[in-house]
Amino acid sequence: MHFPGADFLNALIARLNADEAFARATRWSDVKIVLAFGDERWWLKLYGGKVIDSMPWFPMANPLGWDYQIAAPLATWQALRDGTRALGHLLDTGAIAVDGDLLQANRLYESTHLMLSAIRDLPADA
Amino acid sequence: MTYEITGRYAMVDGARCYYDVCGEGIPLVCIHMGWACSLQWHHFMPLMAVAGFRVLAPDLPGHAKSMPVNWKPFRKMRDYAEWVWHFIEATCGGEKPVVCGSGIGGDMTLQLACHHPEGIRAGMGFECAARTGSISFLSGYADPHTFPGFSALTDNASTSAMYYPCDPLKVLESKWQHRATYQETCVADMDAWNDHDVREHLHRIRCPIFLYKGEADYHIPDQAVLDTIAAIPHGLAEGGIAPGVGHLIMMEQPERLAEACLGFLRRRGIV
Repeated sequence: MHFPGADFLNALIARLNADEAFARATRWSDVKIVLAFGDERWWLKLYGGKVIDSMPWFPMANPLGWDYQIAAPLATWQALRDGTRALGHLLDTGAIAVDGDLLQANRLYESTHLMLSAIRDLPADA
Repeated sequence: MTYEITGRYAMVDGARCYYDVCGEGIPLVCIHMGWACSLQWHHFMPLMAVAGFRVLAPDLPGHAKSMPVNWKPFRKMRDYAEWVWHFIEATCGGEKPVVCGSGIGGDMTLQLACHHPEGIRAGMGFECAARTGSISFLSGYADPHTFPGFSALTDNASTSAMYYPCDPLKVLESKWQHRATYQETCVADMDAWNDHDVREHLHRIRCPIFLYKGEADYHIPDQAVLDTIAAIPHGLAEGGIAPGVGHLIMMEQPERLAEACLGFLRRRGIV
C-alpha cells in the first residue's frame, strides 16, 4: 500500500469508522476537511460520527469547499509515521498545521488527534 | 511507616490557597506543572517524607483549589515565582526549604534560585531550563468560546509527552490531574512558560541545583537543559536526561525520581 495514496486513505477511513472513540469525538460533527499530505490532498466529509464521503481534492474543483485543513509536507508525515517526531509536538508547533475555520477545528480537536494517531499507526501493508 | 497526605489552606498575596502536606523535617516545596495541580505529587510526596522531609505541594493560584491573586491568572514567570516565595514565607516557619518543580514549576525553581539566592537550600527542576517556550499559539484562546474543545487539548497535551509504552492507568490519572484548572489559567501558564528567561541571572545562584528531564519530553530540547547545567557557575549544578521517562516524571516513575533527588541531596550534604 502506497503512503499516501487512495488505498491508504481508504484504509484510514475504514479504521476511523471502526473506532468507537472517533465516533464519540465526531458524533455532532458536520464538517468538510482537506487532508494534505504534501501535494497530495484529500477531501473528507465528517458527519454524525463517521467519515461519510471522500475524494481527491484540487483547488477550485470541489463546489462544496472545505471548513478546515490539516496539512504538512510529506517529510513531516513520514516523521510522524516512523516515530522520529511525536504527534503532540508536530501539532503544538504547527509542523502539522490546522487552518481554516478554527472554531470548528478546535471544537473537534479530539477527532484531529485520533485521525493523526491513525495515520501514524496504520501499517503500510494494511 | 506510612505517611498520610493532608490538605491545608493558607493566605498568600491576599488570596486563599490550598496545599497538601506530608511528613516532618526539612521543608520540601513541590511546584506542579502548567494546567495541573498538587495531585501531581501524590506518588512522590510520601517517598520524600520517608527520607525526612516535610513535603508541601500547593495548588498554584488559579489552579484547582487555589484562588487567583486579584482574580487574574499570572502571565509572567517572575510573578509566579514571587508567589511561591510568599507561599514559602507563609508555610515554612522561617526555615529554608528545598524547592522542586516540574515544567513551569521547574522554571519557578530556577527563578527562585536566581532571585532569592540565599533563600533556598537547594533547587530541583524537572522538564525546565533557563529559557523555555515551546507552545506559542495559545494566547488567543483564553475565553471558552474561542476553543470549545479545549478540554480535549488538555487531555492530549497532558499525556502526549509521556514515555510510551506507559501504564494506561497512569495516562488516565494524568488526564484527571489536569482537569481541575480553568482554560484562562491554562493559557496564562503557557504565556508564563514562553516569558521565562533567567539566562542573564544564573550567575547569582548560590545553592545546589539538580536539573532532570525525561527523554520523551518534547516540550523542551535536551540541549536547553544541558546548557543550563553548564551555565550555572561554581559547579553548583548537575543532572541530565533520564532515559525511559517523559514529561510527567514525578508520576510516571516516582520511585526513580525520588532516588535521583535523594542521591543529589546526599551528594550536596543537604540530607
